[in-house]
Amino acid sequence: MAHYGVLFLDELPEFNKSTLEVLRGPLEDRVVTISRLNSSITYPCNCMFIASMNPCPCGYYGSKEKECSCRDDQIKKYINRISGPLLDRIDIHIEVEGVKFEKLGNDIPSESSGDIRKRVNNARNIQLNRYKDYNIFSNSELTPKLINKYCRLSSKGKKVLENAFDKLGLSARAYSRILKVARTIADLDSSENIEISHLAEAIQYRNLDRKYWSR
Amino acid sequence: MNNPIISIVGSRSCSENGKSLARKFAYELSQCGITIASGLAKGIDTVAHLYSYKEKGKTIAVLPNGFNHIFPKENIDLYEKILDNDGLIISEYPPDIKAKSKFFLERNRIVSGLSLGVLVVEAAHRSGTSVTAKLAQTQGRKVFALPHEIWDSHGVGTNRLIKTGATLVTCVEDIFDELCRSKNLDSSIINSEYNDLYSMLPTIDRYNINAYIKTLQDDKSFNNFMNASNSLKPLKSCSFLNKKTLKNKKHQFVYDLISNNPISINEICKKTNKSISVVSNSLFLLELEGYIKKVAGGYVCILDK
Repeated sequence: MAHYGVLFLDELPEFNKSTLEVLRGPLEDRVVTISRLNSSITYPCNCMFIASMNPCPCGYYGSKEKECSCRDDQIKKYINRISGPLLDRIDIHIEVEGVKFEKLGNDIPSESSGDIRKRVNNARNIQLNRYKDYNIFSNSELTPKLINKYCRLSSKGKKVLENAFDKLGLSARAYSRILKVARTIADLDSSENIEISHLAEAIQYRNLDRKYWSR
Repeated sequence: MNNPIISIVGSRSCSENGKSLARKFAYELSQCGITIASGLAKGIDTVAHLYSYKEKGKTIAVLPNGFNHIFPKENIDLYEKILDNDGLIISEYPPDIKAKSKFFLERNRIVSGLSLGVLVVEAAHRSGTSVTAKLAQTQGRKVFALPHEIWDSHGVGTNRLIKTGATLVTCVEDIFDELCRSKNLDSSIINSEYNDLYSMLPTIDRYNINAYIKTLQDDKSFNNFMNASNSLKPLKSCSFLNKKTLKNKKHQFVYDLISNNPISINEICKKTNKSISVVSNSLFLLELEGYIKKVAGGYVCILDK
């Protein structure tokens, strides 16, 4: 049903663990295969997967307004419901703060959705143009071969990435994800090559990979 | 055990601020050759043990359980590291006894009793830490407490301790000063442990007391020690945030905003009026160079040692 659409799962850790693990295949291969006794059907499933979760069962871990009332092992158990392999298949993880009541109705000028749409469309067009011979639409569908071709890093960029893997404890499976996200950020910037700043931003978006939930 | 012992205690669910305070004091006290005693619990205790042995200092862990049932399990690793580094683990229970809640309180009396003084880093309103402090007072030990903000729920206990007569401490030197003063005022509690204060003095290099070391070694009288500590230079380590100096000044504007309390990327963007990509770029490079680190809720700085 979500083919070329968005699949949004709220409160991700509240889902059954086996249900979540089933998602790994479709997210990787972009097809769903349903096998029954006498037939096996494969449906296309190229969707954008979005999920949200709390940092801990009470929802206040790391919050400034209220003290978290969870024990360490509770937090660990909660986070562990989402397996590493599943996390690796998600390109971007970001931590957001709670919104205070006063801020709900304020009118601090921010980028309008219309402006953002222009930027995104621009980046999309760049990608469509670039991949017109390959029958794919966006960076997210890049195969390893195409990643090598289009996500070239400068030698300095390679060094930064290597450093980041060493020091920040990123998982090796995150490598191609980071490159794809960095490629997209570069496209949004209308930049031909992936610069270090693009790479840095992409790595910043892999919050859950870092071992910061431990001490 | 032969060195003077100070115990560092604090809440298990501590703040980032508390952790870096514990780190600072554990580090500096061990540098001065003081043995750190604590209870191998989560939070402040863990940090205290960790940073005393990292500085090649000695550390003593007092367990509320037998050796076969280390609690919490996360700290089994730490337990072994302490033993590997010539630390000491004490337990008054047979090896197969598991921790019970009353053992924690019983354990606290040993932690305070072992030491010259108890340094309370963080304590909530009603906590085991406050009990330790009370025990220390009844045992005639000094109680040192770090001041906290009035709003800070992690600091209610320490602020109350200060109100009721604990010594307010903002740097390691305050601890030494108080220990010396108390010896002067109340000679009845003199015991051999205090003499060790002299022997550790020469190791405090930032005191700039080379000229005095000789006299101290020749004549270990208390007056000399007081003279020495009176003529100390203004102490640099009293300033709390010894932040590192950046090599690359380009990221200074971000680094200036980061302190002991976690700050999120959104807040940094708002305060600097820079775009998220500029800020995240700086944050990433700062993190890579080891100036800051990511914790739940934002970024904190890593302090210069």
